[in-house]
Amino acid sequence: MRLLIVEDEKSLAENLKRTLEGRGFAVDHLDNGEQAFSRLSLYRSDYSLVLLDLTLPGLDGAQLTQKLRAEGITIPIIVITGKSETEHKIALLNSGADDYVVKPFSAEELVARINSVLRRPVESQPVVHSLGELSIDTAARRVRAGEREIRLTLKEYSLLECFLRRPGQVLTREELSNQVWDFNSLNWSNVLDVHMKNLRKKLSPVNHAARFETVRGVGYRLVTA
Amino acid sequence: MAEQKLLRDIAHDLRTPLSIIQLTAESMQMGAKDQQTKNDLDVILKQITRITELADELSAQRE
Repeated sequence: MRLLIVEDEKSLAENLKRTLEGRGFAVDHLDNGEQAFSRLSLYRSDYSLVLLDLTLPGLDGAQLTQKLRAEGITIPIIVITGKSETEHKIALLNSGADDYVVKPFSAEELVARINSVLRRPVESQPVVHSLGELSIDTAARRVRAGEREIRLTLKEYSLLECFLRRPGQVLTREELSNQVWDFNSLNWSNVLDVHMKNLRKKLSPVNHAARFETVRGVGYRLVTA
Repeated sequence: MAEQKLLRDIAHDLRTPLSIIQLTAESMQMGAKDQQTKNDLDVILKQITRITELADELSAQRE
């Protein structure tokens, strides 16, 4: 899952980026509202969620939320706010934000809120996604093939999550790179192939559950074996 | 009153540095090897909660 942090306080942004990358998210950071609006207008489908500070230079968090919603951009937004008053929280939610966290907050709370918002989009997505005997629990970040637990690296987990959210569909190399790696990663390298190879290897002992098909020149598809 | 607004603004401005300290302390605690360091970081995190409660009280001040 790729997230965009919009935060002008450099230390906080760096801290958040490190914390979330440590939990397996790909994270991009921008420090002003105007840039964030341009990025999201052009690359809306590349991001799963926006973490937005309320106090920003130029276009502030509330204005950015309203502008994005007015443009029909429905990406989930969690606002980071320093204001704890109830009327302020109500105004934020009414402006189009999906949730908020009040500073200071713990990393655990933030990650729980991100996962909660990611579980409740348009199609009301479930916590557990499965294909055949292969299943992924996005709340516990656990992968199972039947009763057996499969241990994956953060990137392998993120890749598998993309496939299990869209079972049977072909995911292009570009889509996978955009979803799993941040904006600055080298998409033309063979990093994706290496991770796919490792993922296949880890799933091979349990390939009665599901297997990857390579669609030459396009990408990959996860199908039941 | 101007004084109450000032107190609310101070409470608000404290929250960003508190967030940075909290996330840093939590991250250090996850990587801490020895119990003493974990205990010390616990103290820092508890004090952050205390300051946050004070900030909440200041934020609740009405004109």
